[in-house]
Amino acid sequence: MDTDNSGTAMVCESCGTTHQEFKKGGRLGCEACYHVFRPVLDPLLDGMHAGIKHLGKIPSGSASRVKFERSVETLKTELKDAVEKEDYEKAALIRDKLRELESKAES
Amino acid sequence: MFHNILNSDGKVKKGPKAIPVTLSTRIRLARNLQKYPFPGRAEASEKRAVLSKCIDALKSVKGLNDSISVEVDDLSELDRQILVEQHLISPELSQVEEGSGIFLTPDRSCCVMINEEDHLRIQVLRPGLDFKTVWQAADAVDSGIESAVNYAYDGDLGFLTACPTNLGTGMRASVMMHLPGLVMSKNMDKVINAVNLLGIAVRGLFGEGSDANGSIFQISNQQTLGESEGAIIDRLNSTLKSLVEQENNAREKLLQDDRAKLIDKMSRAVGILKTCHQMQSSEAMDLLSLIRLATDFGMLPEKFRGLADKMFIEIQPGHVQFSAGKSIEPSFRDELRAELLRNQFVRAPSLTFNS
Repeated sequence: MDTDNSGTAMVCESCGTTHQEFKKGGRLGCEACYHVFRPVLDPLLDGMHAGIKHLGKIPSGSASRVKFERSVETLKTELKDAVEKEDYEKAALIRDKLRELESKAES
Repeated sequence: MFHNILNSDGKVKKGPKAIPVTLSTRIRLARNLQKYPFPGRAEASEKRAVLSKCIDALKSVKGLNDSISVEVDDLSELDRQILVEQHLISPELSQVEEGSGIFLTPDRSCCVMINEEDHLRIQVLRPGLDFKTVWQAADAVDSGIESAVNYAYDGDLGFLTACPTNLGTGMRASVMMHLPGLVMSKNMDKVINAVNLLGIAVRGLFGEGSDANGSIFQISNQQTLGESEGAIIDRLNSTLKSLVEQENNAREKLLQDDRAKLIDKMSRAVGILKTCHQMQSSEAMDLLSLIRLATDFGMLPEKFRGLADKMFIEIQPGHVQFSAGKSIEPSFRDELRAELLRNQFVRAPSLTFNS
């Protein structure tokens, strides 16, 4: 079985691509693969490209998307905190905010 | 409908005139949508969903509304072959099973492949050497699509692609070059090794792994991450400039050292094209290459350069087959190819030159 340093099999839970498949075919299966295989990818990229940091075009929608993803992340952390502290009133408020954000994103 | 677009030259705007050495410029951007697996890992239903999302997004892009879209599935083998021969789609896309598509502008300057190796492969091409115009057009189509969909994108790694070799900008900028001088002087291997060291790739006429035919090569950037699109294009451009110079030097040297031999070759090419009755495509490519070279030397009228470029494509097997209007045997294809060439070159003059 193919394993990474921590001894667990490296496989992308999102699309099922295994490290073995990546090594054999050189293709990743989905965007999540880039997180899963990052440890084995980084040294490869270093030899393959002029650098390892993207210096090109930034999609215009990405700025607001990144902001959105960050606020969702922050709210989720706050929600977890509130639940741990048994502050259910605050938790409910945060949950409402999250729902509002997510429904905005849907539309 | 599709045939009309493939074969009518009517809507193709008169592009820039064919110039020596550089045949055409192309930029290809690889993009993927968020949340869907890349095509190689996607179920048929997921590919269908991506295809329809991409087509909708493309139709919403300003200036692309009179384009046509078609599923690869709905095209005959011959249609696909013709698209490959016109360099509009890759041989890989022509072989896909289902859920892939093609989006093509009427002037054929922009062709988007959907569900090839990535969800989107945006391609813009133009005759001659013109990265500025081609980049602006590709960038505009890309931004237009992006206002309708979310791309798989990472702040550090840029646009995420199925193959890490395309990561970052997702951009492959390339030019098709005619390098008979370097081929005849047996310098091509040396040149390929030298440019490879600069992160520039050299391929044959039909992309990865194909043999170079008619001394035509595709020169492109190998690296897509760690530099901006502008920097990649600048670097490629300076390599191209030096390649053009080396090619011209090789031609001059051949004309000095092997004048009779070279002129004999080019003159014979004219003679054979005027009189042939059977012609395989590889021989035709080599003869047309000599016609283009003779035109560059000023030994044939200027219009023969554009004619050579047109015939480089029209003598390909799919195009010859299509011109027959019915299925034909390979041996008859060689006869038909010879006839097509003869018709074009029957009134070609002898080479003119100062001795």
